[in-house]
Amino acid sequence: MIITHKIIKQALLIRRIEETFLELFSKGKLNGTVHTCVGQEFSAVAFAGQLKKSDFIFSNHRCHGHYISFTGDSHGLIAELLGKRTGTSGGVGSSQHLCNDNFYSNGIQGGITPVAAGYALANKLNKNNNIGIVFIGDGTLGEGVLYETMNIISKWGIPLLIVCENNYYAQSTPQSVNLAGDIQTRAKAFGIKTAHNNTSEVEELMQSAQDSIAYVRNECKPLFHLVDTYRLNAHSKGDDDRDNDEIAHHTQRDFLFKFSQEDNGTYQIYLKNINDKINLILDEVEKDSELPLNEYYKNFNAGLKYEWKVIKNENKRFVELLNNFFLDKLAADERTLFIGEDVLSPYGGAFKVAKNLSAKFPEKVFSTPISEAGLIGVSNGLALAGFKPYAEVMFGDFMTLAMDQIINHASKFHHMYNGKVNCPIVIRTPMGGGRGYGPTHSQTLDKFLVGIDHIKTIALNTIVNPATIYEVIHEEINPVIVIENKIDYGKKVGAFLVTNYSIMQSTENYPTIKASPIAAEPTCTIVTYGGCADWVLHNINRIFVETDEIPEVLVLTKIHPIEYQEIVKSVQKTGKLISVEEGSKENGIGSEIISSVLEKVKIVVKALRVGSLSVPIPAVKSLENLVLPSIESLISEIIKLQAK
Amino acid sequence: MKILQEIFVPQESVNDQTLTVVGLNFATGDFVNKDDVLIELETSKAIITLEASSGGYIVYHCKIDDEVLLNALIIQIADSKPEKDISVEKIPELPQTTSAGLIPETKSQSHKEYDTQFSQKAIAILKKNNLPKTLFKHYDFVNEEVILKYLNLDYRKVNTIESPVKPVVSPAKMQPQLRSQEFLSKVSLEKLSSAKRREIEYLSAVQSGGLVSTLYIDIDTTGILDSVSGQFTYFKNSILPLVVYETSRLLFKYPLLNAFYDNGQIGKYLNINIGLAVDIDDGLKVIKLPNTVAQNILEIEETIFQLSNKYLDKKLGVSDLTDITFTITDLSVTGIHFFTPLVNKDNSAILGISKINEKLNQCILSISFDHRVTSGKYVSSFLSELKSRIESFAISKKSTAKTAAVFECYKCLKNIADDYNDIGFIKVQTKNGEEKLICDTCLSTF
Repeated sequence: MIITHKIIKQALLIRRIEETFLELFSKGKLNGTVHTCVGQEFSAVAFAGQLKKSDFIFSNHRCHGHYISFTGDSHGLIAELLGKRTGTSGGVGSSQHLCNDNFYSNGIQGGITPVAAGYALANKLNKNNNIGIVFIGDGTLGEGVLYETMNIISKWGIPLLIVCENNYYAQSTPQSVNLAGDIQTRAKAFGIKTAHNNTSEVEELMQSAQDSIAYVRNECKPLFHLVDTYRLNAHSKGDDDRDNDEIAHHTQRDFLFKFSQEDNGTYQIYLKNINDKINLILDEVEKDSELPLNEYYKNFNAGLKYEWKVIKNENKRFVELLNNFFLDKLAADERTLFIGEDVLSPYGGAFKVAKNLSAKFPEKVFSTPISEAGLIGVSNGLALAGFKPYAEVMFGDFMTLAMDQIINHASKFHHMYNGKVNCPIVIRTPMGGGRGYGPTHSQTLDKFLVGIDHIKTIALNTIVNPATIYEVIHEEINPVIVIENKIDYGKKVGAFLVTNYSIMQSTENYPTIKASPIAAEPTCTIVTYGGCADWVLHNINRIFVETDEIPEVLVLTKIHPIEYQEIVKSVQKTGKLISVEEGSKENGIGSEIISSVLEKVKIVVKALRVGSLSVPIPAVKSLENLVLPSIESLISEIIKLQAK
Repeated sequence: MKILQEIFVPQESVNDQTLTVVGLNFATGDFVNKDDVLIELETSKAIITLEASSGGYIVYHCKIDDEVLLNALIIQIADSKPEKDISVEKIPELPQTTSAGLIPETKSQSHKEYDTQFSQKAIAILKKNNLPKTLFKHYDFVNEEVILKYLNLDYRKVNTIESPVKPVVSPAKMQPQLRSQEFLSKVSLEKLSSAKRREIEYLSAVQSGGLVSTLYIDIDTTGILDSVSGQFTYFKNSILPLVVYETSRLLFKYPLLNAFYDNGQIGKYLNINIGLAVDIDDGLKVIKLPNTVAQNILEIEETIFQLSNKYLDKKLGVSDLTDITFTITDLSVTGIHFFTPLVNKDNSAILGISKINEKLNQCILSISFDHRVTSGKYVSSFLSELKSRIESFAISKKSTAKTAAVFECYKCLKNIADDYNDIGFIKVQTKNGEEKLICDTCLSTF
């Protein structure tokens, strides 16, 4: 392929913008830091510059060159780094978090790869012949999720091109210190075709990039393209300890440097034009304002009015209601997908929620390898691309493996890209003990899954039909985590009688269940949710008999963000607030409820948190029963509270 | 009879505490052979079958759709035909729901809907003081505090720092007065039905706020019934449809009467849904009259009639009884001269219609309102304007039948001769494409 002047000008534009950023940084006009790609420009031009506009890119912290080559939006990039509202992400994302049409970048090494895989899978499902590139560095080769992704994209035939820009350093650490084995062999081990070029041989690079793009598009298969290169500046600003001779050596090999030497006249003309263009942009951007808070942060949690209604008795098992919901949704809504480990028929998942789904909808149910980060990441990508993925993590204990995808990706996308995208992923997982599964299969880790920005956390129970909750969740455009309880799967769902009590549910989208004494005034407020709801409600009369307290019990469905109206109303009457959760009480959901209620009431309140002991859940039944909260421990704690 | 085999509910899945019986291949007393499939049980994961390990006569201790506990005995195989069934303790079934999804009021086997509950501390004090439980049979919950109050003893403070501020307690929630044995021997006490309890709760909701006031105004009914009775089919001697018609429109101008008080805030309804209080044979109900703001008086009359029939036929649904923003109660047929109606829950006012005094040509309207939402002056203004609008229906003695037939407002059916504003009627085109006449009053409402 011939290197055209257009290609050279594009590379030079990238370099000058990067150098301008470094100058601006020196003058204190940029926030944070900036990771320039000086010396690596032709990788961007070769790959990002040769995609179709309907293709996509996921890039990393060193994304400016990719951004300019793909979008041509120099103005947006400069405004972004200068913190202006006219910037690509409104000034919110700055150097590492850019979003423009199908261009995305994020600063988490490796985390973008399964998201890109999901996005590419969406293209495949939509049969639109579009492909995508995910840019990684050689430093990314240390991240495990990259390998989960390569396994998945190879196995599923996902049209994703991984471009590894190998500049021989992970931040400041030379590759020789960190990297074992061969880079291309890693990809080949997964059966992925590879290619290899370097940025000093631009002609070959341009042609090879074109070939790789065509391969991925035509064969609908992934490819790993290794690009040897060298950054002529520091990793970020001011942290370069590399040998000067080494840098000088690579500078001599740099194409733009050689061009400036061999054809300085043309080079200077290009340079002037580009500098003039950049200066014009800087003058314009200077006048732009910054994003005000009320445009960046919107409180999505407006309190709504609600009424109370009788709870229907479904008389069906919890798992059956869930399964029916998914059967209906997969049939009715073409966006719906079901993803999880071991979900194919006839097995249908560890708790059979996915029973018969893949048999009836083989193209919409995906059984993944044991790769929690990978499956959530892929689901994130599918959600960004417009699908409604329901991702199942087999046991709640395994959510820890997916936390990066939840916190640094799903939670962040909407705001860090200044509201340009939504990620309607639903992550489902069963929590809870009581079956002797032992320390790593019995936990209730709810406390780690609440308070995550922009993510609703729902806890289902056996009183209200879970399908009605999922109908609401299905309409959410933001991420939702749904915590199910593994013991609840086998139980029948619906209302039951409690002597002298009425049990109603509110008409809110995520209803509160309220058990109130019909005639008497309650003397204490118990707030609970999830797997504890069943045994607390069934034992209301026992609580009265053994403690003298007449409880009003509130069962929450949404545990983040919590609606406090009903809790506050109840506590104003009773003056006693007791929270019951299956997780350990320290720093748990109950802590949040009690402290929030105390902020809102004007009376002195006696408060109590009841939860598991702060120790791993043992497998031996007798010990497990003592560690987990129970009606006995709840009664005992209430009596202690009375004594205070 | 010798038992050859006993079959218990197996644990197939660690998550299941009960299994459901979905198939019985024989009947009790049948002869079964070894390896015959006897029963199908549904777990949360699959349907399993259990077989006979010996031949003999089968006895089932369960039936189809039963929820059977793990390890419960469900089948026996005997060497001879059983003479009688041995029942096995089952989990109490959940009560079946009606088609509306409501749990019926019948008491289930193991859970009584209403029953006096005694705490352990309460029982201890009863025993110590030799008091019978029957003293407290009208209570739902009897704890230590209740008994100590009865014994007139000081009860210890629950909170030594500061007692919580108790809000005004709804009368429905107050515990009954302590009664002596002698008193109780002279009376017959009946527990309230749940419908009545709910009625008390709804009415208490506003009245317990303590700031409900009532204003009265008399309507001069001279000529009104003559004017409209010829038009009406069902309400020939009543001004109810007129009141509903005018009130619906007037509430646009007085939104605080179409509102409610809620915990320091005033909520104004975005729509106007008039509710009519009806109490014939099936208890007091407030029935929503839909879309009265867009109906003429004849249509309103028809609506009232149809919904009254629905009430009598016990066919009212939840949607007929909810979302009511303003209530009207009509006691005109009962001969009541005037009365003070009670404001309904989530309303700020209620309008009462008393009997038409035929001698005086007078009917008193009374409006009770929540002073937390509005004020006497505001309500007076509403009532005065309502009076004017209703009285405007009175037929003029000077009007001719011809005039009445040709020039009348298509909304309120007022005659041009009765146009007391002296403005006249305006020709309008309805959305059906017809040209009709409308009076100034009705036009200004829109």
